[in-house]
Parts: sequence; C-alpha cells; structure tokens
Amino acid sequence: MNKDIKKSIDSIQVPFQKLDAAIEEGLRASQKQVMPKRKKVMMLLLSSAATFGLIIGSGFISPTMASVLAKVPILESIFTSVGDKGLQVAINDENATSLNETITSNGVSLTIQDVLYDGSRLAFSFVQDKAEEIYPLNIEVNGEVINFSEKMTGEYLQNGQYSGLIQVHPTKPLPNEFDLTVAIHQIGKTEGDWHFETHVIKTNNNSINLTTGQTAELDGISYKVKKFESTTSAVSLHILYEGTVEEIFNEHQVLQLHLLDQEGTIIPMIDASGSGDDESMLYEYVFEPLSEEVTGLTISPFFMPLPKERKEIAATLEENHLPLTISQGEMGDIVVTKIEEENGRYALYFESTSSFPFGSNFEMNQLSVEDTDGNDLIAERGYPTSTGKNKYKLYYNKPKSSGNIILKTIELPYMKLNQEAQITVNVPR
Amino acid sequence: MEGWPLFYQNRFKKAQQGDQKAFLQLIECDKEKLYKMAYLYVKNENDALDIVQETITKAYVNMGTVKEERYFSTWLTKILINTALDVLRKNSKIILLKEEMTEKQSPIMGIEEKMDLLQAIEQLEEKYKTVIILRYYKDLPVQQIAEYLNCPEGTVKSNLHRAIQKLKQFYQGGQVNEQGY
Repeated sequence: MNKDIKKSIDSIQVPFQKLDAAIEEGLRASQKQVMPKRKKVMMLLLSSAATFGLIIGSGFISPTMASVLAKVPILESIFTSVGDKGLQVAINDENATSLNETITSNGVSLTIQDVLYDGSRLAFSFVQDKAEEIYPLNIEVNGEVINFSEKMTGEYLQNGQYSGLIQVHPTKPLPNEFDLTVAIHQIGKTEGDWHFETHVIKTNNNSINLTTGQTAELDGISYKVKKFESTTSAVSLHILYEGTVEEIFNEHQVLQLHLLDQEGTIIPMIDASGSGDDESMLYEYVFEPLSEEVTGLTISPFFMPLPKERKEIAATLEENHLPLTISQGEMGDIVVTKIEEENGRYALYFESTSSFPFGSNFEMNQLSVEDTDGNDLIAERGYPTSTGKNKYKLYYNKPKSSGNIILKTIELPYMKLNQEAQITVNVPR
Repeated sequence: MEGWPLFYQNRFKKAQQGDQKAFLQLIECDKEKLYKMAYLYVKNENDALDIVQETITKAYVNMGTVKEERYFSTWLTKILINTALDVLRKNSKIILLKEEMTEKQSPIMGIEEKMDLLQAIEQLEEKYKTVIILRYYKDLPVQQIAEYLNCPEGTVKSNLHRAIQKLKQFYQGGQVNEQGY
C-alpha cells in the first residue's frame, strides 16, 4: 500500500503553466514584503573568518593547550582554548550555569558541561567520545523555538574524547533570564534523542554605549549606526545601510567591515548577520571585547571586489631559502619568515606587506600548503592565526612522501579602507 | 579553502543571498510535489496554486533560516503544509455557514462504494493526511516527522497506524501494511 499511496498522489494532474505562474507570482510577492518580514541574508556571511569558510566547524588543536589541558578542568579549558576572549570572560561570571549532564541515546553519549548567555550569544560546552557532527539543534527559550545561527569549534582531549563549544547567535535578543531547552536528534549517523533543560541568567556585562545615530557614506550608500555597545564579553555594532541587498551583495562586490582600534589594529569579528528589504539592510556585528588599551574605535565598511578570474600563484617552500616572497598582485606580498617544528607538525610564520589590514585569521586570502601531488597539508581544518599586525602563523603537516612543499595563493583584487566612509569614536575609560 | 569565493559555489547559497534563478533551480524538483500535496488538502486547483504561491513567498523570504541544503526540501514541505492548514482553517470559517458542511464532515462510505485510494487520502482528517504525506510521499522517518510536527514519536506512529486503518476501510485495493511505518 505504501507504494500505492505514492503512486496515487503522483497521479494528481499538475497544471504546469499555472504552477510556474504561481511560483513566479510568489517570488514577486516576496519582493514586496516589508518589515517585519525582512529577508534574511545568509547568516555568518560576513563573519570575518567564515567569509571564506575557514572557521566554520573547525576543530583546531593548539599544541600549547595540550599541556594546559592536563592541568585545568575540561570545561574551563574549552572555553579558554577554543572560545574567544568574550567567552573567556563570561565563563568566569557568576551567572554562567554549570550543568554537567550526560545524556545517552542509542549508545551515543553527549555531556553538556556549561551554559552561558552574554547578551548576544548562547554558548555551551560539550564532550563527546569522538568528534561527530551534532544536528539539528532545536532550541527553545521559555517554550518558544528561536531562530539562530551557530558555530561549533572544538578539540581532542588527551584522553581521546572530543570537547567542543557551540555558540548560538539568536536572531532576536533573549530575555535576561529564561528557561532553555535544547533538543538534538542526530549525532554523526546515529539518530536519537538528546534533550536537556536548564535555567539561564544573562552574565553581567558592564555595558557602555559608544555611540548611536552617527552617519557616513560608502560609495554612495549612506549608513547609520543603530547600536554600538561595548561589554566585558563583546562589542555589538548594528548598522543600517541605505541600500538594497542587490547593491550590497552582487556578483561584482561584497560588503565587508573592519572595526579598528586607535592603532589601526583589527578588533576580531565573532559574528555578523544581515537582513534587508527593498530599501535598506540592517547588519548586526559582534566583535571580541576590547582590551584596556583601546581608547578609540573606527568603523570602516568597505567593498570587497570579486575577481572575474582566479589567478593562482605558486611557490616552492624551502627552509634554507627564507624569507620567501610571493606576490599577491596589487595587494602586496606574502613573506614567509620562519618554519618551526612543533609536536610533529610545522608552524609556518608569514606576514603580508600590504598596507590594507587583514583580519586575525588572514581573511580574504587563500593561502594553501600542498605537497607535489596537490594534497592539502594544512593541519586539519586549520587557518592562520594572528601573531601581530598582518603577521600570522599557520600549521601544516609533514608530507607523506618526500618532495617539495608548495605554497599557493591567488592574486587578490585591490581593496582599500576609505577614510571618508569611516566613523571614529572615543572609548570612555 | 578551495574555490573563490566559497559562498558563490552552489545554488543553495546563491538562493540564500536572494538569487531568484538559483532559487527557481532549487525548487524545480520539488514544485510538482508541492502542488500535489497542496491539492490533497484543498482538493481544488485554484486553492492548491494559491498555497504553492504563498509557500514560495514565505520560503524565499526566509531562505536564510535554512542551515543546509539537505534540510531545504523538508523545510519547504513544512511551510506548504502549514500554509495549507491555514487556508483550510480560514475556509472552514466560511464553509461553516453553509449547509453542505455537515455532509462534508462525515464521509460515511458503504463498503460496496469502493473509492480510489487518492480520494480516500483526500477524505482523511488533516492530522492523518499530514503523517501519510510526510511518511509515504516525502519518505521521512518517523522521528523526523515527530520533530517537525513537534509531537512524540508515539503519536506519529499511532496516527500513521490509524490513518492506514482508515484508508483500509475506505479502500479495499492494495495490501495494507499493518505497521504503517
């Protein structure tokens, strides 16, 4: 009968022309949708590292953390080692909830360690017997399902277990205090029911309002600061761009934004999301919390042109012939200065000669390390980490066969920060 | 780190960014099924087309909330079913004033009046119709149906069982799988 059901439903006659017309009309109607039904534009798209898929779901083992892990409790280590500065501050807040609950379903265990909400994101740490994908996450706040984007990071512990951190960025702010329900229905290939509940209180965050209402213009698109707030765990920046989605994202260019301190150093971006309609787009950016030394901030949006063709540049890496300079066209050179062996892997130290500030993970670049057969040698899901202004470190594995190591990059389109498009504010101390 | 730029690599992500062509490509495989499912609920062409149209509007506007392409088809089905149920609710308020409603509500069939299976499915109450569509037309596992309907798996299983029993009453052809799931 099962097949009969399918067959009988399939026997329904479809008026194809009318159906296509209805679909077109449906699309046309969507263009007329106004607030609050704003079009969501790919969450995380602007997230600094996520832009090029470098960080999503990355599990990155920090060799220095291996020794630290042996000494500190698991949950603190995971927030400290894979969390950003904001989470490291928030986890020590009295309102962070320690749950420590293990749920086993169909033989697969998941331990939820700690849960916190810092006013912009929910974060919880977990431990698995091995790293397996967790999905889908269903999150309810006071009994209502919420929309969100998520980011998972983690690392293997010395005992072979995998410890991870899930960061959830709700599309709407959550209450200061709420009942949280999280339901997971699949881990790796195992379907099951992992369900936990807890009460969450927002961590204390000493909020400072930096500015609101200031306006500037980028390439003919004016923008306004709707919210700019610094807390102990994050910096929140909401900007309303007076441009359509098509003007801001198209096949020629993509809007990006840097937040710089008074020295021109980039404040690392944690998350970005945007929504828009026919007239404007609202972007919500989250950055790492500010250090005590930061006295001024500059908001600097810019367009990143998308190149029409991909021009690859390759160079052979030889330890005895450093520094190695690789040109990236108008955007300056990559200069490899040093290679060091660390715990069976290599750390590649390099810098960019460009005056354009790249982000803390060398975003917008596509540096790869390969063996002569074209195999990717970059340590599992690794990405460059900053060691100074436009200076980075990248781990790669030893090649299986002896032979040359090839660095590859691409010619980057020209980018600059336009001072006229910037808004600068003082940070009250 | 392959390719440039990553987010332009497939139609799903393009559709999320508002590319209508990519969106149309994405729903190409689903559009027939969408219409047929809508038709099962409202049993007439015009309303079924309206439901598809509204589903497309809602889906296009909310594309950004779908995390991965593999969830897209089920997500779209969920929107369609909710839209269909909304239409039925609105229509029932109007139909209630009409006399033929009582007749519609109690489809008492004589055993000799064998219906074809399609009519039998159309006659099912909405909750049974929904689980039949999700399980046998969209091939979703019980657990996923429970998740999307926000009810326990047991409820899905018992509704499937009852739905099959009802179809069995209406329809005497074909072999009935007693388990139903």
